[in-house]
Amino acid sequence: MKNFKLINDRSFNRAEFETIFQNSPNFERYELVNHLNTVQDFYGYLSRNSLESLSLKMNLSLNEIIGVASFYSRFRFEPGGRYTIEVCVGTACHVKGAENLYNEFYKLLNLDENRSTSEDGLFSLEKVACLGCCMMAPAVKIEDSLFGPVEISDCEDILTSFLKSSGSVKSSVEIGKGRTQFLLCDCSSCRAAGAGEVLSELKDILSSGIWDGDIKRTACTGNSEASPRLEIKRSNQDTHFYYRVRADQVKSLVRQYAPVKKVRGHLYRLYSRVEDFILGNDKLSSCFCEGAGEELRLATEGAGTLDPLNLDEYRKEGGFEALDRISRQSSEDILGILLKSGLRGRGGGGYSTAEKWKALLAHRHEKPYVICNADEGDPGAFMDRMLLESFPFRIVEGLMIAALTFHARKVIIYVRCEYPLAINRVGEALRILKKNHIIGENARIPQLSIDFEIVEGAGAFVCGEETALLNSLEGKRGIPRPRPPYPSESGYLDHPTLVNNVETFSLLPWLCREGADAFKALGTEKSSGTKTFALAGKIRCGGLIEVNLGITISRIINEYGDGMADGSVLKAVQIGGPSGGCLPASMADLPVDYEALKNTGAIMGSGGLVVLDQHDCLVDLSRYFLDFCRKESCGRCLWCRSGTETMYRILDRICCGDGNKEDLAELKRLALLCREFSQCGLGQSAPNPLLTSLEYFYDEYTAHLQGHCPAGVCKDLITYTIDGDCIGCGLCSKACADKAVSGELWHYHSIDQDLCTKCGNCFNSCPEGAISVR
Amino acid sequence: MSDKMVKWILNGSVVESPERMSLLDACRIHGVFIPSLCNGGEDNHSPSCMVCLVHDESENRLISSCGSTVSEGLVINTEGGNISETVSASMQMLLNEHGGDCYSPCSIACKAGLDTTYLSRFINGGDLDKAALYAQRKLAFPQLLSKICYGACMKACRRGKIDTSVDIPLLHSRAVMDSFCFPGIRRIGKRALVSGNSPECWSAAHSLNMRGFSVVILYKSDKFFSLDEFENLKDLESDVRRLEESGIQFTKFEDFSSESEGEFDYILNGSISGEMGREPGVVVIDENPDNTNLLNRIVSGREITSKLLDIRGMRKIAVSRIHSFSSSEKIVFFENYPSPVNRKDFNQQARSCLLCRCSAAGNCALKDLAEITGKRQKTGQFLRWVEPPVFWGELVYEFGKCINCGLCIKKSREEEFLPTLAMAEKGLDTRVIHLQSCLFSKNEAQIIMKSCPTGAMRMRIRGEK
Repeated sequence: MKNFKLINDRSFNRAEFETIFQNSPNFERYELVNHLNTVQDFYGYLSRNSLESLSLKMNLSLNEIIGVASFYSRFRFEPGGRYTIEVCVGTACHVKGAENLYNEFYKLLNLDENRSTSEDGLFSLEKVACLGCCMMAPAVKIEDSLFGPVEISDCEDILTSFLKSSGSVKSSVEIGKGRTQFLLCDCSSCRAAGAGEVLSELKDILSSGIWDGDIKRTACTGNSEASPRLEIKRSNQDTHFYYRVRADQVKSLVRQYAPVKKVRGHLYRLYSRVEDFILGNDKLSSCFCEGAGEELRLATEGAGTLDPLNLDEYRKEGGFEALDRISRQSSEDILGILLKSGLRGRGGGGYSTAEKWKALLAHRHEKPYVICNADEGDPGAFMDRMLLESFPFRIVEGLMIAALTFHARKVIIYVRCEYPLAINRVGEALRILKKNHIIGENARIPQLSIDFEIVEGAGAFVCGEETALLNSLEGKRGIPRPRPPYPSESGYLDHPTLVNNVETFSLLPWLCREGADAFKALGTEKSSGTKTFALAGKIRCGGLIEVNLGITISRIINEYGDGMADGSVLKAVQIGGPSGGCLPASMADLPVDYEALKNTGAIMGSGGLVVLDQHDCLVDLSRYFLDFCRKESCGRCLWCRSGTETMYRILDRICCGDGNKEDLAELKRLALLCREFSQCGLGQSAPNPLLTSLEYFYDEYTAHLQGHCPAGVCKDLITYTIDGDCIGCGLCSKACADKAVSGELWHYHSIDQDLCTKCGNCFNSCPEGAISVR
Repeated sequence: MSDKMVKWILNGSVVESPERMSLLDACRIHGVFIPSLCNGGEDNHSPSCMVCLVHDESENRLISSCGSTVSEGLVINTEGGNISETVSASMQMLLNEHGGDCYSPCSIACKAGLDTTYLSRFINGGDLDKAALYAQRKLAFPQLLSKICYGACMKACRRGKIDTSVDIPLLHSRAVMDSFCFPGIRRIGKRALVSGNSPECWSAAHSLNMRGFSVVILYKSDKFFSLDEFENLKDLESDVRRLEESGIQFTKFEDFSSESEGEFDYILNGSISGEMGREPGVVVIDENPDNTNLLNRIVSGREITSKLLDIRGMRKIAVSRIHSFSSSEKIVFFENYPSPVNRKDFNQQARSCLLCRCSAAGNCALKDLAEITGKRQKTGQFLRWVEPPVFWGELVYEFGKCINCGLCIKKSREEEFLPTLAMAEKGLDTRVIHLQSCLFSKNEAQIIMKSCPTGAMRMRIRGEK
């Protein structure tokens, strides 16, 4: 139970409070979430005094404000530590052991039930649904610094290194023109892998005057497994790629290119870890571009070369061509193009975009709102973040096309608050466009002289549902609205509204430039075009991929993911996050399109794709997703609120070995009821992971009922033992935090089952594979 | 709602309703009752409880009638199919999350039929006299029973599943200890004669006395309660003093003349052993009412048993305990009983009571529907845990019982109360909050309470803190 006690801030100063609202004269209801964000950013938490002052200012009752604030997980009502450690427990991180990582931090910071902040008041620890760094799993975020993949042994180093660097201000990247270019992506996931350090090292070296290269920031290729990826480009010469560059390697690397030395003909390959596979120039093409080749990049066009925030470059690559063409056409013509292309909403449901636009077109004279839904809350999905960070101009262009079509009143981009870099980049892009009179006042196209605004979400998964998003934008609790009326009739502030996903908007420029036929030619008949997927899990090469719809799952894994990770056998693919399902390996030849996936019981969702191997327990995963859904349910409908909770408790019981035979039938009954009688997409699709895994992995459930976890995940059902091959190296006893492993060096070790907490650290540390799980 | 009328089919017959009227209202207008909990009659209602399901023939699925509107050509069935099954399932789910019994487990467990939660409420509020008064009204031997009972209430206490049970006997005994205040009893002008030394007899006499009878107890002086060496004699004496002070007249059997028997409207012989019942001059009450010779004047033992619950309770506790003691077995009751009562400990115990008894037990839409669907709570398997109530002035909110319908919030806005309630949190934790400094007045609380379909909102009981 969360006890709602507001803390009185003794040092609260009314005059100071006034100053933080100096620049925002608007105190309408719909600004509430924004203002709460402002207050929280300033004070670090919401105290009684600050909320009371806000309630006076906004003319809302205190209860109302707290009601809204408590809905969103971002807001806190008690002061936390100076820095917040956010451990990602998204799907990919979950299967890679985020729980153990959380426990390690918990132990390191000496936390207990009553205290969520370390004793020195420096750090507070939180779990976060998804940081969108799934291929860097497990990921940890401390304030604005991302770390991943984090090993349990790294935890302490992370804290110390963070404290060391927290004082220094990060320098921004300068863009210039020179003869040799160093191209590097510094999006959030690449930063998690260390791109930030590489960048600053590179800057140091270049500014020290060894020579005059230029650094250029590029859009992310999505190949995050290999990041930080440094591309060194010289005029008239080969381009060299370096993968997994570490900051300490930068110096030697740059020196190779110093003008005093002759250019070396061969490719430098760097090994960041001994056992790492070597990724070279050819490897890249085989890894990412085989098959459909370059033309496959629609939403991610220009990945790896385009500077995210360089307007001229975007123009050169064909940017705003579509807009120019569209501005000469009537709204009906644009609708015709969409209709012909067969574009379907990329947000999850797969509803025809043209139909949605058609419904809104009837209300064009009322000046509708255009809203971009970038509240990507699914654990295991990060497409929207990548698109926003790498291609902000393209998304804005898509929005401009929509705004032109409908003579929109205003354009709003709703981005979740966990993506600060995305918010920054899109904001910067909007500023540049305004400066160039492409949007905003004095825009060259009169219909575009409207306001483009970014609104920060405050952490609620359900706000990805379009009507809940509208409520959230209006400063209310993010509860889905009953339909009808649909948003196209009465949406934001009761005006007709268009809500589309980021990816849908980002496809529009290509679609309008190349024409509907070109788009229709891609993909399958009913699902045309391409789709981005966030590929993560037990594969060798994860990241953002863009594929032709209709491609088989096995091709995605083998061609884009470069096959399964070492020692992994494909067991299942989790597609679509908490609303999707788990498909077994036998379905690997299933084409990925809307209909085929729906027939299996999964859905496309927004496009998270987590590959599971034999060490992943499907029962545990179902429990994980239901845990997520029960926490994120808005609490309005009975079945979503209590049905998910009941299913979670039954699954929890099964995972602990206390299940009985009737449980499985009961689970199925509850799941079907929940699907049938929930009002919005969250509740309707929440049982999907459970239902699919019940269908395809029934044996695994029955095994759990008999007290046995085949994958060796469920802690109450497994034991770790050391078998014959123990060489006595002692690594396991070092890895064990609970001192359960004992034994002399070079002698047999053994595990004390009473002390063992089944974290699996010893299992992972053993070089000989002498530890077995049963 | 527009004035335009549309035709649609309800259970096979064509009916007309204004367009966009909610399906629930339209059905009710046409005489079909559909249960509903969360609906407050507003437009665009977003359904939450899913008990108002009807079958939409055209789409062949169940829809919630309060969230749907009437439209031309709609075909609706309100019976048959799996409607009742699904409504039952929803109902079961609602009951599962309903963290509160209609009656608290401790009061159900109490063999003497004492509503222990009611008692604790007074004690919680610091009003010991009221608590004592209640105990004295309910029990003939409040002080004695508080010392010798099994403590079944403690075993049933919900708190015991979390940490430690509330020591209800302690609260009880502390409240009644040496407290002698009596309410004025309105006499109904009837007289009753009760003969017998047994505790249940006296209990019956007490009960009749509380109902306004003028009662005379006939007892045998040589066998005062059959307990000469009774350990808790002091408590018993106190209780007898209470009985006397409450207006019961004690007459020795030897001093009673059978002629005065005619003055009584009711004569009750409750002697267990029967030895006194067979005495000449006293009407014998048979277990079989047909054998009695004075109709209207005689209450049979069995009738009393069914009518006056506390007698049954007395039989169970007092009879077995006292009689087993009287057969000279040494029984030590509550060995570790703190005596004299530690004031601090007592307060702590009083505060730890969760006050589980529902104030809306007789006036609860959820309970009514549970009766219709035949669903019951699975005790101890609540999805939500019972939390202590929150006090907002005269209004009290019990989270466990809330079904998140939002009707109280709607009401507080409609009536434009100064404190406006709001919904907070999400998921299963969704709750009504009130953190403003202004509080609810009695009048406002009454209105809010009436809007609540369950017992989640109630009035503050006087003295309760």
